[in-house]
Amino acid sequence: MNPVVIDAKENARRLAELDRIWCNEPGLVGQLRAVNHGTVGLRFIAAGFAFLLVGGLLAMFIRLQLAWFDAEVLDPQRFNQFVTLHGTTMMFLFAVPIMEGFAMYLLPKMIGARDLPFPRMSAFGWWCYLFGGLFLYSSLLFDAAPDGGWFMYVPLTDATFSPGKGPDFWLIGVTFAEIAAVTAAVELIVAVLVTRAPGMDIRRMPLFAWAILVTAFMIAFGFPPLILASILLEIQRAFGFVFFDPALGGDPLLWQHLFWLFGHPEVYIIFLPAAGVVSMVVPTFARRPIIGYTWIVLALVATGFLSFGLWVHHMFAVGIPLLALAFFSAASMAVAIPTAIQVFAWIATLWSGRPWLRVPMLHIFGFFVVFVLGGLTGVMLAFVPFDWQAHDTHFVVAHLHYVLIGGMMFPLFAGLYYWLPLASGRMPSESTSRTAFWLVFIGFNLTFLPMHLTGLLGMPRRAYTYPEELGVQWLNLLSTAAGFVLAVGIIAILVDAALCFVHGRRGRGNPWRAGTLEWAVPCPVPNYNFASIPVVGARYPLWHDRNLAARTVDTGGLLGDPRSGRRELLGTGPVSAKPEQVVFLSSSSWWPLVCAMLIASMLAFFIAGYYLLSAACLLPLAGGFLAWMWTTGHRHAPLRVDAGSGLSLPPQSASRNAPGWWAVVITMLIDGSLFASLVFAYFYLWLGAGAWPPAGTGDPRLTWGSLAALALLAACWACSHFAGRAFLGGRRARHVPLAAFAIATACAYLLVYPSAVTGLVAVPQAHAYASVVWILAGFAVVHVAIAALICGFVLARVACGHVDGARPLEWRVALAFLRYTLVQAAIAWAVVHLFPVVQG
Amino acid sequence: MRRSRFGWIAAPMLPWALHFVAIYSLQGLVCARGWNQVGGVVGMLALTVLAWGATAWLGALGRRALAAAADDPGATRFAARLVVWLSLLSAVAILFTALPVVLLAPCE
Ligand SMILES: [Cu+2]
Repeated sequence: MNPVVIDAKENARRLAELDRIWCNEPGLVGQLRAVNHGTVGLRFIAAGFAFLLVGGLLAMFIRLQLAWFDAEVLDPQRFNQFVTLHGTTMMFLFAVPIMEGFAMYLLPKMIGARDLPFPRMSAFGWWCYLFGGLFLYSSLLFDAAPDGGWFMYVPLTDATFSPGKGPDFWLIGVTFAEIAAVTAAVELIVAVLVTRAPGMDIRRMPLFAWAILVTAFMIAFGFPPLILASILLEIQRAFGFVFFDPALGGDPLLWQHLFWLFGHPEVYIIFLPAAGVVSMVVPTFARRPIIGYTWIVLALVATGFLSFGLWVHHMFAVGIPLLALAFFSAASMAVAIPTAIQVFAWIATLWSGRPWLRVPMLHIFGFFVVFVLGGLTGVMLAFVPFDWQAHDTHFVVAHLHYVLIGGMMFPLFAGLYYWLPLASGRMPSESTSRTAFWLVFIGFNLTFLPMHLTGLLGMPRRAYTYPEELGVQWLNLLSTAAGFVLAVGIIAILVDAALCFVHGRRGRGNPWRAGTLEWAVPCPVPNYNFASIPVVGARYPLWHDRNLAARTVDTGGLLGDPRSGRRELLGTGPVSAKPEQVVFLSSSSWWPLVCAMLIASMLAFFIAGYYLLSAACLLPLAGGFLAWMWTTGHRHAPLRVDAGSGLSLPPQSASRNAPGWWAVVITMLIDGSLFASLVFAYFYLWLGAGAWPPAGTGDPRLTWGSLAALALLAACWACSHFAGRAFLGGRRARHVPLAAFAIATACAYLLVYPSAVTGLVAVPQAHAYASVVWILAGFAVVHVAIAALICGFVLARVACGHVDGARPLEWRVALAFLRYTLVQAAIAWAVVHLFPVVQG
Repeated sequence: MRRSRFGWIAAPMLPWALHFVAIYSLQGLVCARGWNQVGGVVGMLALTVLAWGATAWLGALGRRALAAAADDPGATRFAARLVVWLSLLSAVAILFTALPVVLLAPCE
């Protein structure tokens, strides 16, 4: 892969052409249609900071209320609303999205790619995030803000105890915003797996990329339980289904399990990307490669797993047997091991390097101090007896802010200052940024350190006031005053960062003399990042190869010649990073915005209680998605693409490791996690029930109708199997009727199965058993319907010549999803019809 | 074969995860359904031995892969090294999780 020498005039022409292909269209319309990862990533970051400010403002009101024992800034109702919105905003609208924003903006640059593999999906995710956040806050306009806490415990939030719209705004708004988390997870996993620069095999991946990879997998497994719980609670509230009401066989603890199954991993979903930032900043300022690269990767992977074994530690006080608690206590302590490994690796790197104390490093030191303190109180809380003592006091408030602000916000600010010159092309002001750091650091510690004490003295959390006899008012006054110092510091940082874009001193590229690939892009950053894709030969390519940055502005290398006139990406092997394919990306489009708006209107109708109108939105929504998909792909892509440097590669539609293929694999993991949570709910309710199915809720016997449904699933599988073989063999005459028949059997299942279930099981409002069975069956039916729709769509694409045996990607994707839904429907069938018979 | 796959790196943690889910579920079943508690403890210990066996097997596979890739400093060797260490960590974590089984009665 040797770059060719091209003359200056041709080089300039190619650069101009690249710029034309990759730029957003001008004006407002261009912004609304933009899909480029740089644009979308910066939007995520900007929106994240905006929500940080709003959430922080709420926190200031909370602090004012708690400043003195008889303060009356907020009434109890408002106080609860503000506490709820503050927690929700910081978790769902700030911490997770902003880290995704950083990842979206930086990852392609770091791994030597031009964009993320699914640019339209990132844009769609951002709109969903924005609209979801606005939904949540619009509740204030209707005076119906949620007040059940950011954990939304039932029965406090069910229709009996919260008859207003508050919980609906929370459940629907947050779930809407979470679409962004899930789409970003798919996108980032696929980006790390198959779009790394040639030569960047798994031992040369930047640690931030590793951290994002693990985090994205954690999102894929951790968010679905919460999404499912939200859907179930909303269905209970809207239609009177029973999941959490013990009077009819439900169980409020089911909510807590599903919530914390997400909630604890969430802490690490926030922390791991921040740890990735630390692993990028530390080597640069220690001016040496990181020590213990392998150990850090190991720690990231181990944390990704172990953090899922922690969820019940939020439920130590709900009356679960001691042995079960001990399992979670053990896992809570075990997870400290990989975290400690990382901390030691960072300290060792700084120790053996020649540390250079600039502002990003200051924030790293802030992180070390605060996070270690938070970790210590965390280990204390992992002991069950201590947890019982400190449970629901301000000690826990102090602990969680130390962990979250220490573990996430300080690294975030370190990253912000570190990468600011990359995004703005200018240097931040050294004096302002140092002052702001000390304001944040001192303000933070003086706010939350006293809370350890007030908590141990017995000040309960989530209560809007406290008695004078507790003697904690002076400590609280200190917390409140310091809270304002913290707020001023954060505002100073954001203003500093914003001003840097206009008034900063013009910087060179790579002002910190870092070694990783994102600093190889020219300054200011072009929309295409690299004029030709760099080839990597070391963990710190810029330290290893001094000319690499100069070569990336030259179009003589890989994909330097933009002759296709399309946005192109180089696809490489997941482990080896050997070039495998040329990926054609879609460009700017209205569809992401239109689809997000259609979802928004559907959800708005739902909140307002117009369920029919809401359901009617499904049709245009499906149409919108189909139209979106129809405009993707590259119909006239040749079977071999000249990628430059004498390399000829297939396009993604003909490649085994196509991004689309990996995306469907990851989507199935996410969907599978959603389904597994639902099955868990079924068995959890079964565990608490006396008889199953309970008397009067119907008979789950294997009727002819249910058996016919199962037979249809099997027939559909067989047809699709043979259709797939015919397709790959190029026998189109046989493929089309077989595929059509597969779709027909799927549709027959859709007709047969619902009536089979409704005939067997009582109405869902009768009992938790009936509710969970209806949802299981409905889940299977909806999935089969979507799979049938996708197969029909691809069949139409085959007919129009977009897909054929030599470019089978779309059919592979559709087939994989169809088979997945068939298996899932069969499992649901077994749970519904077989399990009650088996357990007698 | 498997050595060239990405997912192979995470494999050693899977026994830990499955073991965790299995003993937690078993404990819940024993207590909620009033099954024989001694049987429950024996079952949990058996699951622990099983999970240990699985990590040991994966660790051995990793060591073999490491030896086979001795002359290749590349990605395969890196992956194999991760597998060996993760198996060790997973084994420790499994032991750590199962320790309370011998110390506490199942349903208090
Ligand atoms: Cu936790």
